[in-house]
Amino acid sequence: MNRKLVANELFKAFRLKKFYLFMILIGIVEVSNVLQYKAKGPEHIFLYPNGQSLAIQMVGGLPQIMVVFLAIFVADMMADELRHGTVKLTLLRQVGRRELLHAKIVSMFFFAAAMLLYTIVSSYVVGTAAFGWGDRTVFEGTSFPPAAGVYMTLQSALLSLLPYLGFGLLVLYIAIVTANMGITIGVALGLMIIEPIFQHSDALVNYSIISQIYFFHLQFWKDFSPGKMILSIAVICAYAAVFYLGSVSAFRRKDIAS
Amino acid sequence: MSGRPLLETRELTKRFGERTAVDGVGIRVEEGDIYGFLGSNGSGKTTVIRLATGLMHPDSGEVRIAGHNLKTEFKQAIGHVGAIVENPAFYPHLSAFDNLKLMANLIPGAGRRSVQQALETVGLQERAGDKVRSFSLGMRQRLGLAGALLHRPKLVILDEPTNGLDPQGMREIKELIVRLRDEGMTFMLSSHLLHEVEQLCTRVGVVHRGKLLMEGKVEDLLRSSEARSLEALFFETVGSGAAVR
Repeated sequence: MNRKLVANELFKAFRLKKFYLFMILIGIVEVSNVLQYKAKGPEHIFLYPNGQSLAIQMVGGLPQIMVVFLAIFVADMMADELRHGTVKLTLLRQVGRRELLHAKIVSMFFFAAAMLLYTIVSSYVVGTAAFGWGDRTVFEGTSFPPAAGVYMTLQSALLSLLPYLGFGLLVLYIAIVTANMGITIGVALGLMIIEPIFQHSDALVNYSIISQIYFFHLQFWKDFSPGKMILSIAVICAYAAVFYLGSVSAFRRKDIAS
Repeated sequence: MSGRPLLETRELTKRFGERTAVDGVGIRVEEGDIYGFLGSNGSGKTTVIRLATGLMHPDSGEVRIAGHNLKTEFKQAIGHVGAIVENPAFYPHLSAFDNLKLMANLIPGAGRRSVQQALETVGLQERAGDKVRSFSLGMRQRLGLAGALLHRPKLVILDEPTNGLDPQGMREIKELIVRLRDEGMTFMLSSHLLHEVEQLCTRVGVVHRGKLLMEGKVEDLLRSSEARSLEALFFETVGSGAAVR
């Protein structure tokens, strides 16, 4: 792994205004949830009112916006660089294309991890400010002691990273092949739009990477089934492997014409 | 001139679908040259440069840089090259300094000092902290040149380097190229501005419709023809090249 390449990719990512805009939007969603609960009560929004519970509820509810953020991030990082020619700045140096691709994948992983970590920290702050810390973590109708709740929240976030990585690699492949931000983001949104079809089919639901983003982390502590777990891991790894190999092959053969 | 080849292409061919953009091109840029790569718009100059820098993959043929095969020894070969290919692209939300620093990070031994020196060389030191989105095309060209010079490469490839420059800027860039050649660098410049190239270049290659029509020292080429200028020679050659087809 070329550490300087990774450092470059992270430097570029963290200097993007989008990165901070995403954080603001996550904060707005959290505050909005709290305000809706306070105004309309538990009948209108499914939320357990204390600081330690809001975080895990946000991690569970984040996929809807995280999928879009990740698609925008990957499109910016790869499709936009291919289209506008900034990728040449790196490729005209002593850098292999596979090395650059790996650095971008690491950057994508850090982005997802940073967003999840931010969500947890900001949810604790917003939830505690609105309702107080509380004496237990409640999620999906089950109560946990505070320490177990915090551990479970972090574990859920960490486990979520695996399907986010699989999804990110799928988007990365599209970004390389099309070199078009609009198409890349559009395909990601398309996958979100058709997701209900998968969720309404017991035969298909396990094979959708978006479904895995929603449900993978829940399987470890809710209705644990080894068979289902192995299937989920196999599906996510299959997505990651197929689109990683596809990305490597497409990027190696890509003519940089910008 | 030592005559040692720094860049050689052999039978370089690139097709886009049915169209052959580069057709068996073999150029030779020798150490100490300021090599003018001439051709009208769409003649295949930029495609040859992309192939020569590994940005595009040829359908057939070979590129060697300082004796290294670009395909099989990419890192050794490209390490000798600094290049601007087509428009100099930068991250607009970053400063000139940060853009160059990102490049310097990938060069062993290069650091902040190298970046500052490169900015001074092209006269952009006072705009180092400004975001590139506020730069004119001419300033981006200078910044591109700074990037290409960061590691003091043996060979500098510049694709239309005077694009977007005002007359003063063009003159400064030409003076800089001559000065750096005198310090030991070799240049390959693509251009369609023939009178400029004539003043600057020691050797030229003329490409038309993807084929190399002629290559050699400017004075030898002029002596061997009845043309009195490179421009006249170019139109004579391109005209005859077109007639062959």
